[in-house]
Amino acid sequence: MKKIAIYGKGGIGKSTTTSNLSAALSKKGYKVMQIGCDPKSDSTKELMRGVKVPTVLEQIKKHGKEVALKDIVFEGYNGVLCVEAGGPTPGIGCAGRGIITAFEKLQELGAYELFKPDIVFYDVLGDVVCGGFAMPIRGGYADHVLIVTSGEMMSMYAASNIVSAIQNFGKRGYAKYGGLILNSRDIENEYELVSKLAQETNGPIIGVVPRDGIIQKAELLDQTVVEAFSDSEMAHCYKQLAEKVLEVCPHV
Amino acid sequence: MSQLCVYLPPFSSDYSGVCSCLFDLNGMVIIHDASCCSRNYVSYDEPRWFGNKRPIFCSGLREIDAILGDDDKFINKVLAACESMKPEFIALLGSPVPMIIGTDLDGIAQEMEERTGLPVFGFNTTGFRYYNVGAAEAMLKLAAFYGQKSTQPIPSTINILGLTTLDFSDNSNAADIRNLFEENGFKVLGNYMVGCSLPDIQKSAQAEVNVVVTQSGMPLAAYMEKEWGIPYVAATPLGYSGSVTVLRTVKQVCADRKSQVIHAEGLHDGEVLILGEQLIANSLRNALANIYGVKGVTVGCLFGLDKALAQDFDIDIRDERQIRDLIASGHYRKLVADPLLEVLIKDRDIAFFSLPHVAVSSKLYWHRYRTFIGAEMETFIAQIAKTPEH
Repeated sequence: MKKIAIYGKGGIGKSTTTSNLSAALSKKGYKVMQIGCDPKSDSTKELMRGVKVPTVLEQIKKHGKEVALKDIVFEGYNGVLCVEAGGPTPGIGCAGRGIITAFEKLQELGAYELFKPDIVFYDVLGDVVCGGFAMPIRGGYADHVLIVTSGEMMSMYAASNIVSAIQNFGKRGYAKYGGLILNSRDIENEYELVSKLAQETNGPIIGVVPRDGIIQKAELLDQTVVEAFSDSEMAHCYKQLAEKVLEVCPHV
Repeated sequence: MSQLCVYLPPFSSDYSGVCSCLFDLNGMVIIHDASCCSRNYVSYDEPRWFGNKRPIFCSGLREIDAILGDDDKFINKVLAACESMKPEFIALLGSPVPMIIGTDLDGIAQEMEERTGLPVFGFNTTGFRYYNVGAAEAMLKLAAFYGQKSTQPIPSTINILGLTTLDFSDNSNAADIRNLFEENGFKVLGNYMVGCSLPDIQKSAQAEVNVVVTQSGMPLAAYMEKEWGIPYVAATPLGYSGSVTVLRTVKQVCADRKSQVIHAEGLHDGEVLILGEQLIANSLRNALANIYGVKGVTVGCLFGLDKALAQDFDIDIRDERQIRDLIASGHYRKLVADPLLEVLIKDRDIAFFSLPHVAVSSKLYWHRYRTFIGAEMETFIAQIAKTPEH
């Protein structure tokens, strides 16, 4: 099982990228599980044809101790297993603690042993702002971390912070930094800027996702590009990226 | 509000279970808290604390440490203490605040292990689970780390699993249980966890059979069966005849290598309600059924229900209100429980039998604990059976 966490600044395109990777890998015959780790709980929307699945935290609140895997794991496009950790209403509660609780519940219920996914993606909210959002990096969860960034300064700043968090956990033998996915915003010298970041953070650019209106078109259909426009250049690009992800994230 | 306790105190929690298990070892135990949980343990949950000196520390967690998640400050404090204490291992325990902020105790333990060269165990205790969960984790981690399996078990050797002072207090109970087996031809290798040393834990992997005396020993029993092929007997020796039954079953399991949970035959939901630790309550029920034919006995598990130990009609107690409702239901005419629960009886016709439990009433009755092996318990069992119902 390859367990990969996808981090990056809020709004940079993590969920779109992750969902397309999940879809592309499922087409290659892999059993994929995608776990959204954002209180907005919209990571898997495009894999579920726009349906927002009940979150782990909602189901724990509803069912208490009786919550079961069928309440929190849902099959989406091409058999991709979709989970949303969920979180509190904005402005109250503790979102970081929510991620921890959701992860503990998945483990307690034996989700990984039962479904035996080949690949697990953790799609994680923005920055590593507290212990909860570092959970996917910690022992027993992701083995590799990939960061989605554009050449925009704030996005690269966030990426740099995430690498610091990974290095901070390095002494504990946790997840390894696998590199950057450049999600282009078509800004000037974007590749050079991100290359410099890659050099500074000692990680490769493992793929470039060009800016293309077809992504929005697919989103309007509540689908991934891989599903909605499977023969398009963008779908081909995501499939290539998926190959590259497998290559840079070896089995641990 | 249904979980509100009006009459009962909170029962001992997981960090106390871990501390209790580690008390007799030469380790350094640090509870990562603001001194409230550590105080709770030393003041209320540890009958051996008074008159003893043990390296159990509080990390002195403060608001700013919680906000900043300053792991390095915690690590450096522990390393400094370690220099002077020279422990054989270090145990790091969580409490509610580290749980809420997601302190990575396993990760800190791993980091500290590299820096000290000592075994360091991280326990993600939260204060929200019962003591038996913590005790189970402590026993399991120690056995998994120190246990050294040999190819063949040593004949007529046993381990006793789940023997904690939170269940048996600090009177002669632990020694009596050990002596019962020693005097009947068994050598006790690992006495988990009263009077147990690290070399004992190492040797415990070579035992022929495990005897589980409380439910906290069950996870370790399952682990040892799977990893080391040691079958178990799950029952607490009580009185004379209950002890004889356990001894006989241990001998049988030595021969047939098949684990057994001792249950009396023909049990049913009945007039006696025992509220307490599941395995001790089970064993009391067995004695009532086997000696006196009292088979209508229901066990209400105060610290979680293990299905492997339960009858279909046994009850997983969730809160004080459920206890009040059960007692008020009119279904039970006799109640066996810690003396603190007597106040929940409103019906004068229900007979109450006192069985103190440290994890329920702390120090209030720990010097009036019953002796589990021998005449006192035998008399107690007879008293429950023979007292007429009103």
